[in-house]
Amino acid sequence: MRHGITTPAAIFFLLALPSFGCAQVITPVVGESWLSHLHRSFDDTSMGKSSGAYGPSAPMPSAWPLTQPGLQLSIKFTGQSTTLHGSDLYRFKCQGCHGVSGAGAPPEINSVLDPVRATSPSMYIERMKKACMYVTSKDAAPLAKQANGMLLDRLYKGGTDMPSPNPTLTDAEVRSLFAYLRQLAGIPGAEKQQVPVVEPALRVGEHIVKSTCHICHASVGHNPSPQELSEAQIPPLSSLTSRLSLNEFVTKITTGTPVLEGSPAIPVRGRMPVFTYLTPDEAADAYLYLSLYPPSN
Amino acid sequence: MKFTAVFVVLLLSSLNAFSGTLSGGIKGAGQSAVVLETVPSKAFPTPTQSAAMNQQGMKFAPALLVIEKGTTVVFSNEDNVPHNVFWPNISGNKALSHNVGTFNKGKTLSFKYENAGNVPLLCNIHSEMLGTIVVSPSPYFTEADASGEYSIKDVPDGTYKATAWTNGKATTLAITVKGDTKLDFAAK
Repeated sequence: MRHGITTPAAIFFLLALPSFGCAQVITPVVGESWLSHLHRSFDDTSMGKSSGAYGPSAPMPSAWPLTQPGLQLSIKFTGQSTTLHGSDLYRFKCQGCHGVSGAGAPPEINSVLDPVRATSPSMYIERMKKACMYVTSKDAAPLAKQANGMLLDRLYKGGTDMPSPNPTLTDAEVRSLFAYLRQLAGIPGAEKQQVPVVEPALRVGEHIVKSTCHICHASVGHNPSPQELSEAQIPPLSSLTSRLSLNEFVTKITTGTPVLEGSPAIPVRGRMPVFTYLTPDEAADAYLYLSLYPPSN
Repeated sequence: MKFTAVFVVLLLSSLNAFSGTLSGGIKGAGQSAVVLETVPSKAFPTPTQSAAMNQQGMKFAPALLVIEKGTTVVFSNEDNVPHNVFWPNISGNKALSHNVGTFNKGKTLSFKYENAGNVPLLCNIHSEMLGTIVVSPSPYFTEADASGEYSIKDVPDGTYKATAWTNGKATTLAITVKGDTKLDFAAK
């Protein structure tokens, strides 16, 4: 069952909700985008673009002014806790770059599958057997243990090209995400070892904003004009909640909307990917988080 | 002056009489190495130079490294992801398997190779990565070029066993070297 929540009062109500049961410390998103950190341009990267989906084509002038579809949030969207699985954490924190399958976009973005498969001694022995390489159980066990340690280190700390998993994952979140990664990598029996975690909506929003939006968007900065947008400038996160209503934000994230660009400004298909794998509730969580924890420098 | 010139000619002639270049081709070969097995009653000094093997762009580089027994190989990780270095056997002998370790960019690992043979290098994190180290039992070794041609210079005259390693498989032939000598292999 889904409810349309469109009035400003209802939006204010959502924003004012406390974060019950929040075991983590939620903090604002800060600093430059990850692409800026890597000195990599938006046009030269696959980071954050795994959905491969973009917004609708620009409407003809006869269709102006543009109208928004009604906001479709579920009755469960109350700002309180929700049960997440490792697959949800993967969507929020990994899928933007590594894709739904985990294969990444080599050579820029490596697959997550091989490092995960390396944590299973039996799977490694089988894979090497197919390559006519015979590895004994005695050799495979310490190799898998090392791979396990390296992978956990990466989940907690990130890498050189891979951002640290911002916000830092709790032990429970790592267990949950790791369990899903093993399922994604096809390790036998992993699907029966999934571990749910209970998280407040604000934490969900924090995951999405810091791990997905912040790849391309800086926390603060100059809000570009339509002309500057056409010159490939990317708006900062700090301007989103003032520029967009909750409805506009959720629509932009989940289905995409045309963007006003150029001088004179006309609506065009934006360059921002559409995150088809996020639900309206989850996009609203991101809006809620950005509203209650304004991005800072 | 005349005396000196005669002496040099005699000396060169003498050298040519005791060593030569062993050369030839390896038919049907991919990347190959040719090594001369240890000559009985001949000991060679321990190598003092180390060799380098990198893991770069999700590959071992070079794909084939040929070294003399006793050489230390320094492994380095040039990628932004962790890599592992291990081999499940040396020339099929599983008792000689070894896990050098798993390491991040910027770190190095070392190993001194005391056993001659073919070492298939693997990274258990990235199973598509495969490299090879061929450890020669003698200082007489080389890597064949892309067309399979090889040459080993200054081989003392004598009778040897020469082994061509291609894709982990060995082809061993007996050869008597007397001055410049030809020896062709047919890769298995």
